[in-house]
Amino acid sequence: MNRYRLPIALSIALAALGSVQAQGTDYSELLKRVDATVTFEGSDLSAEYTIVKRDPGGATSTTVATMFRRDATGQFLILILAPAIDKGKGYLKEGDNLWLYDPVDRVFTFTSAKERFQNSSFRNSDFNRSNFSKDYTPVSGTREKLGKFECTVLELRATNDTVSFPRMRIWVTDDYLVRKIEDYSLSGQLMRTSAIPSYQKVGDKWVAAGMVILDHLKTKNVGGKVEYERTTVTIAKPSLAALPGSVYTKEYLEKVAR
Amino acid sequence: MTLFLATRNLVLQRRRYALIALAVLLGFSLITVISGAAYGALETVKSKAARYFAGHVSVTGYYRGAPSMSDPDAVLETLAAAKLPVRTMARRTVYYKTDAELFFGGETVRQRRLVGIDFSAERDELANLRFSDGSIDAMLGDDGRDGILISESAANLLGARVGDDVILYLTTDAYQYNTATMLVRGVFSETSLFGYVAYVRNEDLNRLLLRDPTAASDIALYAAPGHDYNELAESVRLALSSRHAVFPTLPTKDTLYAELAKGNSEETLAVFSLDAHLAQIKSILTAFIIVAYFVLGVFVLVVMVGILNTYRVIVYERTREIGTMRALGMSSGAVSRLFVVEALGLALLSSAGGLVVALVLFKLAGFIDLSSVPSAGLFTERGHLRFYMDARIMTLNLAIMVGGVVLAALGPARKASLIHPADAMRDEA
Repeated sequence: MNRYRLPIALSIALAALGSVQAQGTDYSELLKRVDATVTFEGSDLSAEYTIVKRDPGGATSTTVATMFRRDATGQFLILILAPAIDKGKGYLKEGDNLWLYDPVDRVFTFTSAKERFQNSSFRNSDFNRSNFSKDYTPVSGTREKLGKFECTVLELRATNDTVSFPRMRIWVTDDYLVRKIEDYSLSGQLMRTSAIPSYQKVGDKWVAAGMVILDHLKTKNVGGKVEYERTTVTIAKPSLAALPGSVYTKEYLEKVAR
Repeated sequence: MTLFLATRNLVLQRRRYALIALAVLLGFSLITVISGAAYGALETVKSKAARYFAGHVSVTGYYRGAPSMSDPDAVLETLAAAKLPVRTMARRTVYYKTDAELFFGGETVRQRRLVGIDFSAERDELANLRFSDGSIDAMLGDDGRDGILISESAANLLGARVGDDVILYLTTDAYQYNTATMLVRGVFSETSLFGYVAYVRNEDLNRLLLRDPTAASDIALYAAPGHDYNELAESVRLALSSRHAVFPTLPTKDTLYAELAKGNSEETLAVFSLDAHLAQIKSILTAFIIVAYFVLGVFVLVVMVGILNTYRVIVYERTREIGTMRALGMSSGAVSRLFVVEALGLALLSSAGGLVVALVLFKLAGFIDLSSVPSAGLFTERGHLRFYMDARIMTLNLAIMVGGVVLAALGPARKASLIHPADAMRDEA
């Protein structure tokens, strides 16, 4: 009997390993599908972002910005339209460099993609194209119901240190749309929860129509209830109209900021 | 003989000299108080800066333009072997990025500087840190684990007190987000220039930055009493250059930036004295000291005019006495010397009195609490003015005062020496 134990154990172990590998491959494939669903490799994407930040138990501030994005080259240009004090300010991403343009001093300064956008919970990197499959590797997955959505929940670990969050959990519906994201720090602290309840179809791809982001670092106990800094992002007027290459230049940003 | 006569004259004619003595006494006490306060302010700024930067002399490693010290143990070993005049030597981990933030109760405060400290080694050096709540002792040993000392300004903005858990946010060397819950173990008062700094144990900061627990970015050295920081910095630089790549002498931060711009392909150590860190502040205080001495120079000039006139009267009144001394065989040079020695003695005695008055004024001014005066915190220690006086400053002050008095007395002394005995007697007749 004993002589059969080792081969049986080996067979079970190999089968288990194979199952995990297969699962891992599936999840990687799922991430690729997720990226493909919201990425516009063949055209430019422009849209108007309205970002409303509400401090816990306090004031709100609104930023309106126009975004031009070219996923094929990884470029984007953001031009702030409101509030009036920040009008003309802009961000330009060229390769790995992100420039911030100040129209008052007329100077470009380096900034980080990991910085908060206009001091909200939305990060500069959130304007980037979706790149889950390249930047993260799935370490586990489960099925879970999120409100009315049946989702696959993936736990992701960063494959490189250029991404903002080293750990992440994402809820993906069967149509490959991300419905919820939890962003964690290296120590495992939950830093941000984003919900994306609605998407809008643009061409044959999808663009989020709205997002709600809760900042778990900025919390306050208001009347016995914990309130988070809440950032609501509304994305309107999406367009796939082709844009000239000159849009993604410093000169263009300087010109439109005048 | 001249000394005896000068002393006798000073005693006998004390009433005539009283006015000059009073002017010199006030002048010297004023010089001493103002220079003592100015140098005291400079010393206060330096002691605050020593906490903020890494000691009186700091050693920081740089590799390809970024702070990096791969083997702090080797640096410490070299410095220990050099037997330098140092009272404390400790490793520090300084978070040189400016994105560290503290979160509490819905509020955020960005920290200008986050410093990891070996509290057991630097405890005595940080003893002057004024705590409004908690203490530095709470950071000692394992009890201090995951503790943080925050400034009063940060505590007020966050609404945090000792015992509260704040979230510390930073990015690792690879720029990845990291966070930790830290217990506030102390809230200290610090001026805005050196404010918005938080202190944690260096092993805790190393852990958050994903570095080795014993890693360090800086070595902090505190000079033994009486030793010049710049000389110590040069000694440190020379000692390190025997085993490590070291930048040339760096008198200011700009010189470091110029060196870094050249691009260092191997890890190179930068040795900074506190004066190099404080070049701008020091120039402001030096300007203040120069202005103070200019004002005092004008004051000494006024005193000199007074002394000149008083001496003219004294010489006139003592014409007969001078004539008698000349008739008895005293040379004209000796007469001149007599008046100069009298003036010198008067200046020295009055300056000694002025020093006593200045010491009393120092003591009284030390009781005044300036905490409520805006921006006074930078120049005060725990809200009180500090006075600093050393032999060099004292000698300079004494030279200004005594030199002024003797210079004023020279003219009348020369005039007295020119008096002919027969003329003096004839005038009297």
